[in-house]
This record gives sequence, structure tokens and C-alpha cells, in this order.
Amino acid sequence: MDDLANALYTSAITAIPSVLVMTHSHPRETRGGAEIAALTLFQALKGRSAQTWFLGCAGVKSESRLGAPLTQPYGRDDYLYHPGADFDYLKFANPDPNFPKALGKLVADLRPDIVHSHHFARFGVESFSVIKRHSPNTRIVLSLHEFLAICNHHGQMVKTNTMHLCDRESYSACANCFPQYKQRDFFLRKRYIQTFFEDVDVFIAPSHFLAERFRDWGLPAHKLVVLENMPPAAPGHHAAPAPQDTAPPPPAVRRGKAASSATGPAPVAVTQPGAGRPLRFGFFGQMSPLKGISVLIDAAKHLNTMDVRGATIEIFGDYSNQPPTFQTAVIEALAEAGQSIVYHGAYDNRDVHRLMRQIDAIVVPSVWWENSPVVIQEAFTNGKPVICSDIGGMAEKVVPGVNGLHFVAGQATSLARVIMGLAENPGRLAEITAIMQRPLTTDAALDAHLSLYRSILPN
Amino acid sequence: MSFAGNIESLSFCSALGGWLVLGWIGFGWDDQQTRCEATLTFANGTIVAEPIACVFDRADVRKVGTGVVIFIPDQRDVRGMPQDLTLRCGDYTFYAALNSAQALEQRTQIAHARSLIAHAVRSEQWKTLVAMLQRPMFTGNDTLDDFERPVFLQLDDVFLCPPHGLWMFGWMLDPFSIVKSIVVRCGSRQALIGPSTSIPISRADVRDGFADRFGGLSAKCGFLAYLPDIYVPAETLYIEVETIDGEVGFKALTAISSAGVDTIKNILGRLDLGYDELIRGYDRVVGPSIQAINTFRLRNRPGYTVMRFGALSERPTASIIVPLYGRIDFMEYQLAFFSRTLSRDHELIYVLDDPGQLRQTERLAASCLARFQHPFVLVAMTENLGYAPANNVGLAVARGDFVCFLNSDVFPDEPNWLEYMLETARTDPTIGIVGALLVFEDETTQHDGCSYERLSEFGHWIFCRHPNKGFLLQDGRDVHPVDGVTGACLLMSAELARAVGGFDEGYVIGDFEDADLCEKVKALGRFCVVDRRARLYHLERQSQGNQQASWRFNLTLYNAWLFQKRWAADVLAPSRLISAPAIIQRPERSLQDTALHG
Repeated sequence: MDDLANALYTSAITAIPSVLVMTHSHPRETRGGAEIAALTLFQALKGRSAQTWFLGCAGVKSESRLGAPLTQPYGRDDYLYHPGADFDYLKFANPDPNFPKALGKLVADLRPDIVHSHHFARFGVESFSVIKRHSPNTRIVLSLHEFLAICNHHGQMVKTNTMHLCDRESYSACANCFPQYKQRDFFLRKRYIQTFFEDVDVFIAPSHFLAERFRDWGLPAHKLVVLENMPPAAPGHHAAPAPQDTAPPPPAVRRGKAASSATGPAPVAVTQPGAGRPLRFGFFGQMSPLKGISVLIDAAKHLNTMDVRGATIEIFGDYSNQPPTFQTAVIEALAEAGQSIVYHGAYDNRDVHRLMRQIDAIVVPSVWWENSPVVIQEAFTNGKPVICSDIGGMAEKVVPGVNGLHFVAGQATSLARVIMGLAENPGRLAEITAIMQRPLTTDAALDAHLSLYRSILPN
Repeated sequence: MSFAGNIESLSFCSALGGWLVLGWIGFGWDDQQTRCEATLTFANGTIVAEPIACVFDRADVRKVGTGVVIFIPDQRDVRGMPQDLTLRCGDYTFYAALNSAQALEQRTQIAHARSLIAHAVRSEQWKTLVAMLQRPMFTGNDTLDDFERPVFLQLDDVFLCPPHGLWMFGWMLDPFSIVKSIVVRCGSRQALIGPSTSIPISRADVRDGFADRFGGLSAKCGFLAYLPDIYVPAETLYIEVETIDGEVGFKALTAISSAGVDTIKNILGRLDLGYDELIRGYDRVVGPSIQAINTFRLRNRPGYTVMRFGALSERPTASIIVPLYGRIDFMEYQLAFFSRTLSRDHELIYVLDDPGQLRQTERLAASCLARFQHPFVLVAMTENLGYAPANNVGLAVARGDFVCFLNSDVFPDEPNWLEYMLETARTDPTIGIVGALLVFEDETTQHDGCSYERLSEFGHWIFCRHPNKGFLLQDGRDVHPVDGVTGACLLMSAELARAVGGFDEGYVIGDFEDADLCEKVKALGRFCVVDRRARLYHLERQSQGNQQASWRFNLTLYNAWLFQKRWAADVLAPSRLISAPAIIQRPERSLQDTALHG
């Protein structure tokens, strides 16, 4: 009997809970951080033969069906919600009267042990209440991406008028950023979101920085857990360096034209840092103002002015989605940046690991707090140090001298000095590269998630 | 003794205000030394008046009588043609059927009469009649420009205040001070624009426009006038100006706007009355005109439809009545919060007083039920009528033993707020109204009961104040008596609410209705209290900006004026303060924990 009891106990604590993973888009349509994290979790759970389902939101690519808020165009365990056009982004309320019933029926049918939500946009925060109403035993886990619940400015806690960083929300400060609303609107917004957050059992913050901000905002500390998102999937063995490529480096780009052809960025010669070639510092991502692209380009100009030959800055990204005025500014800045900068243009996210392996260090010059940028996870996955702004989630993930270096946020000269220092002493970068610890593997990250799930499920 | 005679022509002369009758009459009637009396018989009644008459020689009846011109005053609006005329003077009686008399157009009749009385016997009545008949008549044209010395008169706005009132906003410049009277005429009615019917207002723009032509002009050349009983539809409306020189000029009034809430806002938007002007202005002009408009617009009981969302309680304990106007999204927030804090034993009634938003509200209501699953009633009024009518409609629909009037911008903080208020209301039968502690979003006090205060800058009228507004309240779990309670959150028994007639709809749009309700309840010997355990957020609208120039502020003054007329003598009476319930300390958690979701 003892053996049986032990076996049952062991089986219970190792049994994998059934999980419904939710996110506000669908990886078949967009590849943002939240949907990538959700997809990775879903796939990892499936890899453990867990009973798991995915619920995403349709964008423009999927057709809706009259009278059917939920459809399954991508498979039996994959559901797609077709939202209406009236989502209230101020308070994340979903006015679609058909969704609560559809979601309620889904969770009542599936009876998942866990609903792990990676976003409440488009579903609405009321969906947590709907889930509890129709499946009271289901535990709800919410991964927090950005500061959406706190800040109406895309969840970034950056002032709308000055682009200065914001430390703390207040009704008056928020009304100042959004004059079309009154203070009482922000009071109501907070109350509304917090009302439905009461139904969430655990909030996952990928960084302590984020967790602290949400604690200040009013989330109960006992419900907040710091746990890194599932790492982005890396194809193949990511510890080995990429093979040597004999193709010469592409020329510096003028006037914003990408060096790469339509088939993608040209391969770049790779050798160890300090091996008699300029150090290559790579930027990966959206070339938006908040991502600090202007800081990066100005740093390159500064390097030119100082006639620094031991370093180049290589940009892998796209600015075509940015406002026209910003696009013009980027094009002009790139043209003036000189030989220290190489613009490769947009890239397919599936190529990110290959491209990163050809770079010596990844630069993350964001001028907003960031939470746990996917690009940092990707850099660490590929064993590349990160040079980042000294604020927010970036500063927490990157420890100077351990897995990267900091520079003063927003200051191009500070970034330039860090790069110059490494150009003069490339061995330092090599040292950091050598001692860097690899991030959690997917398996280890999944185990951490499962452990969390089990801790909130009834015995 | 009856006398012979015949009436050959008659007509109603609006310019004179009566009937002008021409004919002949037997000798002797004018020898009577008593007052005469003329009776005109109509199909629907008679009028009796003292006539003005004079006689003249007529060759064709010289053997039996004299020609006669008679004026009989008739101020009625609807007349018809008379059937017969009877004259009585002492023993003298003259009767004439009028079916064969010619009904002439008034100008023709007047011209004819003028020519006849030129030869009439001179008497006091002759003089009167000559003056009447020679007075210039309005022909439809403006004639003020014909005055020897200039007079300028302009009406910027004329509004109808049904049924017969006119509100006028205009100005008059009389550089040489020659104007003797300004009379508005319509049909047989007339009204003087004078100190009892108008107030002067500043029109520096007008003065400045004429300053280069005339010196010494006063900026107080504008006026607001209210003539309560002047207008008759389909009758010619005009102004008659008479000067000290005996000149008479006319100005047509053709553009009359109909009245409604927008009229009220328009009227109030033009006011900027200070200390000395406030009382006079509201007593003479503003108050009566707005009262007339408001009474007219509310003359019919409002129509409404009732929609039920979700499964409502069969016998609700309390009905919460929430008027909705403008911010219908407040309903969404309230329903979201109430779904967590309000027992389904109570009935939630939203009264949409904003017909233009009906469809959006219906959609939002369906969405809210799907999301929050809290049942409620939505009553849609067919017209926007304001706070009092909307709440009264809610009261008519309510089925609870208690009613709680609640603003749409009030949101619960303490989950058991309503249960506390009900407990207080039930515990002490002398309590008629229970209010709540309301706070702003920054936790400072918005309402902890109202007190009354006379404000010297506003005619020493009584206004409701919120003591400690803006301050952080010390934690005090008590029930305390107050002069009044805001309608933003006000609980009373439904029976009592109906007994006092609900909210008085004489107040316009919203203000002072709650104070009035409290006074009605207090007049029955009951008290008002605030239960501080019932704590809610009231996201009160912000201050009105340039308050004293806005229509909204002047509307508050109108409602204050109305409140004074009704309650000023009672409000601060010492007897009111006797026997009020003392501050009641309630232990925390005295309320039994009850499941809030049925």
C-alpha cells in the first residue's frame, strides 16, 4: 500500500496539468514577444505529451465565420477568436456580447487545470471572470508583458509629450499625458482592470523590475512571481560558432538603403572578438524611437568623429512601419553616420540565431524601461553579450562584466565610449563571452512553469 | 323703455382693442345720466362692457334718431362674430340683431368712423373716441425712423414661453430721452415693457456702436423682458413706441423662436446679474419665463420603454435608480463593480434620459449582461427631460421597498454600502433619508452631508454646501444627522418617496431637487442622516470654468431662486434642529455577513 501510495503521490506531483494557453494574436499572423512566448510554452507542453490547447486572436489574415466567435483553422487543439472592431483599449474591455458565452463554453468543455494568459488585449480583462464563472476549479496564470495595465501609453511608462521615463502612475500624471481623458477616467480604468485581476491566481513577471512596478500599482505581492518567459526556440546546437564565411563585409550604406538583397542580409565574416578585425555590434528589432535607434546611430557618428576603426555597428531591422517624419530622420542619420554603421535591413525572425552568431555583441539601446526583451533572451541563447541601457528590465537581465555591459540610457556618447573601450580592448569582450552562462533551456524553463502550476492547483 | 335703431356695420379693431359699431339710434338714450352698459352676445357667450359712444346728425334718420359711433372694449383672444347688441342706460334699452350688419375690415371701419365723428356732438366721450380713432395704426412696417428725434430699438431674440408668454432680449437707445412708453401688442392684448416686466442689462457693444454719433450714452441700454400674457397665435405682434411729443411709431416682431431646454440655456447664457440685479432679475424676468417654459415642456407625462436584462429578483428589497445622460459608459463601470458588490436581492434600474444614445446603450447593456451577468432594468425615455423627471420615471418603475437614487458617476468602495444604509433606515423610524459618505478619486471627501448657507453675493439666497469637501475625513464609523443629503446617493422608503411626490420637476435639468426632496421629508417630521460606513466614490463633474458667465451656473441660480421661494422660511428654522437623532456610533461589522450573490 505504501508503494502504491508513493506511486500515486509521485504520479500526482509529476502529472502534467492540462493547460489552455491564451494570447492576443496568433503566431501564424504576428511574431511579437507575447505570442512567441505563448507559442513556445504551448509547443513545449505538447512535447511533454501534456493535454494542452492554444487560444489566439485573429487579425486580418483569418476569415471569421458568421455566428462563430471561435474557430479552429489551425488544428484541433488550436482555437482562434475573431474579435470585433470595438475593443476598448483604455480599460481593456471587450464589448463583444458573443465572446463570454463562447469562451465560457470552451472552458466548460475543456475544463483546463490552468489557463495561462499571455495577454488580455482583444479578449478583455473580463475574460478572467468568465473563465472562473464557467470553470471554477481552473487556475488562471497571467504573464505580464510591458506595463499595459498601468500605463495607457502602450504600456511603456514613457510620457507622451516629452518621451521622458515615467516612474509611477497617478491619475493626474496620466491625464496630463492624455488630455482627452480626465483624472476620473484613469481612476475608473485602474478600478476596472483591478476588479477583474482579482480572478487571476498568479501573475508572472519576467523581471523583478516589472514585478516591483506592479506591486506599487496594487497587485498583491503574494500573487506575483518572477519567472522568465519561455526562451525562444533555437534551431540546432546553439553553442557552436557559425562556420567561417569568406565573403567580405558589405560596404557602409548610404541613404538608408539596405546592404542586403531581397533574399536577406548577406553573410558576414565571423571570427573571435579581438582576432584582428573590427568588433561587430549588432542591433536587432524594430527601428522605432523607443528602441533607441537614434542613440545607436548617433553613437556611430561619434565613433566616426573619433576615427574609431576597431568597431562597426550593424543594424538588422526595419523602419518602414514608423511615422514618415521618423523614417526621414533615420534615412538622413544613416547617410551621415559614416563608415561605422552598416544597415542590413529587415530580417526574418527565423534567421535571428544565424545572424546573431555572426555578431560579437548585441546592442539594446532602448530608451524605455523594457521588461524582458526577447532580443536579450535570443542574445544569451546564442552566447552573445549584451550592451544595453542602464534602466528597467534590461539593466536587470544584463549584469555588467558577467553577461554584458551598461551605458547611460539615451546617451549616444556613453554608448560610443563603451564601444570604443571594447574596440581598444577586445579581450574584455572575449572574457565576458567566455564566462557567460547559457540561459535556461526550454526543458528547464518548462519545468519551472509546471512547478508553478502545481503550486497553485489544489492538492 | 326700448328704443329704435339699427346697426349697419361693425368690426373688431385689434388696434383699438374692441368692437367699433356704426349705425343709428333713437333719440334720448344719451340724455341718461347713468353709466351705460353694452352687451354683445356671441354663440359661446356674452361680453358686457362700458361703451364709449357719440352721436351725430344723420339726415336720413333725423326724424327718429341720430347716427351713432360706439366702441365696445373686448380683450378676449377668440371672439367670433356677435349675434346681437344690447345697450342699457338707466331706463333706456336698445336692442339690435347684427345678422344684417356689415362686417368691415378694421381700417375701413376706423376711417369711416373718423369721418362720421368729425360732425358728432362734442362730449368727453367724443374726445376719447377721437383720440382713439386718430391714433396711428400698425400697418406692418417699422416706423421708428419717422420720429422727429431718433430712437433706436432692436430685439435680438424673442422666445415663446407657452402658452402666452414672450421673453425678449434686446436694446433701446433714446439719445434725447423722448420715449414715453413701449408697449407690445398682439391682437387685443397689450403689455408694457417697464420696470415690472424687464430688467436693464449692460450692452456696451451697442453703446460703443453709437458713441461717435451721440455722446453720454449709457451702457445699460439692453433689456431682458418677460411678458407673461401677451402672445396670441396668428395675431399680429408688434411694438408700439410713444414719445413725449405724442409721436407713435411701430416695430414689427416676426421672428419668434419656440421654447425648450435649449431656450432655457440660451436665456441663461446671456445673464450676468450681480448683487442688486439678481433678485429683481429672477423675480421679474428670469424666474417666471423659465418656469413657464419648463412647465410647458413637461406638460405631458414622459413616455418610456422598459427593458429587462437578466433574471431580476421577484421581490427586491431596494431599487437603485440611476439616471444616464452623456456618459453611458458609466453604466458599464457600475455594472462591472456591482457584479462583485451588489446583492441580487436588489433591483438596479438605469433610466436613459438621452434618447440620441438609445441604440448604443441597448448594445452596451446586452454586452454588459453577457460579460458581468448582473441583472438590471433599462428604462429608455422618449425625451430628454432632466434629473427630476428621469428619477421619477425610475420611481414609477421601481418595485423595491426602498429606493436609492444614485448618480451614474458614483462607484462603490465599501462592498456593503447599501446594506449599511438599509440597516440605518430600518433601525430608526424618524429617519426619512439616508445618505452616504462620498469621496473623490483621491480619497478626499466629496460629500458628508449638506448644510445650508446664505450667500450674500447671490441675493442672500440659501445654497447647499458640503462641509469638509476636499479634506481627508477622519475615520468615523458613525451615522450623523445633516441638513440635507445629496441625490448622488440617497436612500429612502419607496412609500415615502411616492408620498412626497418624488423629485419636484419644477427644477430644471439638475440642482436643488435633492435639497427640495429633503425639505419635503423634513416637513413631515423626519430627519436626514449620513451613514459614513457606506463609502462610495463620487467622480463629480469638475468646476464649471468661468462659472459666473456660464448658463450652467445661471441655471443653478434659477434652481436656487425656486428653492428660496418654497423653503427659505423653513430651512433655517430653529425648530428643525430639535429632536434630530444624535450621532450614532455603530460598531464595525455590525452588519451580518451575507452572501452578496444570490
